[in-house]
Amino acid sequence: MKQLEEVENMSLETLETIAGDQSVKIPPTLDGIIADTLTAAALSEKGGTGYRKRTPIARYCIVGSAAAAAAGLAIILTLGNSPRDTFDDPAIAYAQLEKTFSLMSSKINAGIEIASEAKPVIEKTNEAINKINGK
Amino acid sequence: MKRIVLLITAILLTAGVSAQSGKGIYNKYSDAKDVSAVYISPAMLRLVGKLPDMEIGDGEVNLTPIIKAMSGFYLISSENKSVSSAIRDDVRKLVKSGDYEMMMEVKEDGQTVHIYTLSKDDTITNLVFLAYEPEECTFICIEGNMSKSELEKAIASAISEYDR
Repeated sequence: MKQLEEVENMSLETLETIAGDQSVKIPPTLDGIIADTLTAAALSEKGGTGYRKRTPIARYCIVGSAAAAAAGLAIILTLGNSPRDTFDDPAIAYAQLEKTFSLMSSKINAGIEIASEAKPVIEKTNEAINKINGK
Repeated sequence: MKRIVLLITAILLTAGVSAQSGKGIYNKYSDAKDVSAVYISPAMLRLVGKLPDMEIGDGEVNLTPIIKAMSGFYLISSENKSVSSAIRDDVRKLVKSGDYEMMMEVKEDGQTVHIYTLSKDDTITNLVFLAYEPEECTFICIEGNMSKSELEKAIASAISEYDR
């Protein structure tokens, strides 16, 4: 079969000769294909973008589908990243929680100790202020 | 089309916000180099809650009500300077993004400890603990619906046991 470029480069005489050649069989659907192509081209010129105007129901369907897809994506993002349990044994998990609460309480205790060290200073300051105020 | 774009943007933003959570920080750093990570799922916490009272120090402190109210436990610890710094920055972002309240700040021997809570009425829904030194850091996030009074009682008991 000849390529499109080859056909374009052919002279009119050659094209006439080929057209007159009765031995070449023309596909029976060729007329229909040409007609469809021309109609589609005409419609796209007439309609600008060529998009079909959607009915309100179709629009709702599209928005609904997009919402469902987005919700699905959000669920996948949320659940898909669920970490795996570090421990299989509740007793070990228990020990870890014990250790954690001990650590937290020790730090809180350190804070309370620091605060209690400041208590006498605060009391002395209060006394001094009270003396000044004559209480 | 605009509606679809807005919808998708909203969903993605929600997903982005959910990344700024204890879970998000855990997922980000749990597989990093020089990081120790512990996650206890709600199912495991339910099993732990069925065990007898926990012991802290030499005495017994009943943490069962708190454990039963917990729905997630995340711990990240690192001795890598750059990872520690990144974790600290992410925790700062986390507490800034929500209505977290600073419960305590302790600075001692070059270490800074911050405890933040996220509360709703008399219930603590999130507790974030961050102990930070330039070379290392420990991040703990406890999620759940913990009673404030129960938690305070448990911490107070733990402190008195620690004092002994």
